[in-house]
Amino acid sequence: MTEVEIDFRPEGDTLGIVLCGEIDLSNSESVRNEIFAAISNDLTLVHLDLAELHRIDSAGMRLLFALAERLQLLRVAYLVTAPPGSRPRHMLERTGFDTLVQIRD
Amino acid sequence: MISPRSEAGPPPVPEGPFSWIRKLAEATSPRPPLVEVLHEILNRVRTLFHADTATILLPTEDGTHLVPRASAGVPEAVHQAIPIPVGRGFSGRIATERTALVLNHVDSSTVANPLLWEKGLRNLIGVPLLSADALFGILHLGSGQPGRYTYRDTRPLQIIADDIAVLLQNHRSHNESVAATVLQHALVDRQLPRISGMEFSARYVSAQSTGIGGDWYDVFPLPSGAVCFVVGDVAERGYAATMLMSKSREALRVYALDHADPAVLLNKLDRYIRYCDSSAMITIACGILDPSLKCLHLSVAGHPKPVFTKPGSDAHLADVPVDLPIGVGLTTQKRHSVMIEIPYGTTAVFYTDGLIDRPHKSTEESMRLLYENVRSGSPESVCGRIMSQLIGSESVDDDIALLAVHRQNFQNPSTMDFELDAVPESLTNLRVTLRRWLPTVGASEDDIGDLLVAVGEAAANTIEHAYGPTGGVLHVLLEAHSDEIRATISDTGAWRSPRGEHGGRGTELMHRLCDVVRVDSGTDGTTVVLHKQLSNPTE
Repeated sequence: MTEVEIDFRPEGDTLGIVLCGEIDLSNSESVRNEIFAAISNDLTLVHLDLAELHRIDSAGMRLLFALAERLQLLRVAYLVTAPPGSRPRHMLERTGFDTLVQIRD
Repeated sequence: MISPRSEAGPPPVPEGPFSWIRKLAEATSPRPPLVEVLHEILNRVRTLFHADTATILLPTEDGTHLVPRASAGVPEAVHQAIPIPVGRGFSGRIATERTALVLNHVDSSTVANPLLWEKGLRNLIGVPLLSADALFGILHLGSGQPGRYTYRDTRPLQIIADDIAVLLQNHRSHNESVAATVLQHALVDRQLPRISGMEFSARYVSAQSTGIGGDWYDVFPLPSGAVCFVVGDVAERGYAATMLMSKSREALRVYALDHADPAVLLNKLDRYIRYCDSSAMITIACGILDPSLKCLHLSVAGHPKPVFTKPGSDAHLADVPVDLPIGVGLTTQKRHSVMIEIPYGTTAVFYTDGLIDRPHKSTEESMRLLYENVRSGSPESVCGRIMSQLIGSESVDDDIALLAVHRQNFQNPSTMDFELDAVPESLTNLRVTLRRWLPTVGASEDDIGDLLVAVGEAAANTIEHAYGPTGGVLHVLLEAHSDEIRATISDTGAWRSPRGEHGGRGTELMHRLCDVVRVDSGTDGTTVVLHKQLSNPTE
């Protein structure tokens, strides 16, 4: 199975999530479950950091979209960091994710 | 166990340099049907446990019911296929509790399947068929002798059940993979349509290690003369991906019959996919080329933008906003479409991300190679160059779909020579071709209107009268002279006399709309020649 490390960094009512490694169909389900379980409804902001993510496929993007839907429903702000030119950034732009969620360099 | 080869079986493998092929073929020969294998197992289990009946129930696709699928002793249970709700009755309880059960009282209060108590069974023992925590079915044995089985018997029965579960699991994954592969290739590896003035070429490569991934391309002409292009990617693998792909492909074909805007097609697909599968995500680039072939309407749902090369300019990405993929976002979003001019000689390349997300190349490097290799010219050579430059001999870990579309250069404007099947559906194609060609040779709107009717009538006559039910071919030759259009419509059939109330009216119309009408009928077929003076010749 593809390797990914998930680091949760809670800070008051903000939750930082740092993903390191790769996400594809083989691990996207477990990553999704882990992230969803870590999000409580008293948060005001979730900040997803993809700077250390080397690769994400369409199943991984489906997880990011699902998270966006869930947070929108909970009225929790959602922010994603992905360096310009990185593979995850290309994927975010290519799938129109940047029209839904604010992306930071 | 070695069984003697039956006389009707294949001949023994001749020893020779290629005998390994036969050995491989035999080793992978088709498996016996699952039901036969289960039946064989049940016969042996029944003997081993001195049972009167042995039955296996398999879960339905949605997991809500169990259905008897193989039985030694109660074949009628299989023939009648009575569904047992999970949670109810003897088998239903084993499925929910996932533990063995022994029953000493068999009647309508304990057993959901009436056939079992009608059979006179007094004692039942059943175990779940579990593999990797998933339920693959239920195995139960019945006896007319009260107290025949106790909980001590569940242990050996569970050992057998575990092996059956592994067999069922392997069988399912094998079947799903075969079904996905067959369906995917049946839908994708098809001959692309022939449309005069356009050329297409495509590639589909399935991932080598992870199986079918649900990428597809599709090209289809519409009755209006428009042409629809689709390249899509389902974020799933295997059977589930192929099912979603085939639903999406068909749905887009249906919507395209009524709507000319690709953004509308994608919106409708979005609603449909949300309705059938709440977790699905599909990315698509969808283009609809006008009947004139001069402009393309393009809409993109979370998909890589197609690359265009027009004469006199470098390859570039289509200037189109990227809307969300199909199936994501809280609600259906507004989608956009743009209109792109397609001058003669334009090439457009649609693809899925497997082409540009290569393990040993950066996205920039892949895009640079893609731009370099999308050149004007034969789409077949464009596809060949792209695959060789971007993929080469590397293994493919993600599906790739690639579609190259080319509007041919205007080569010989003064003649058009083509064949159509002599069926009513071809009349649309004929009209579309005339509509495209006549303006290029100086015909006015009035001339076009007259010729559409006259040529259409001549062709309709052939379709109606020339051939028997096996059909035939309609040959059309159009020639433009300085001040006149000549159309020759011929067939190789034998005309019968006109029937029906419209008989003869077609010929009358041709005479009224054209300057010369000549019908030559012979044993080799019939040729209708029409000449029409242009109302306002350009030269």
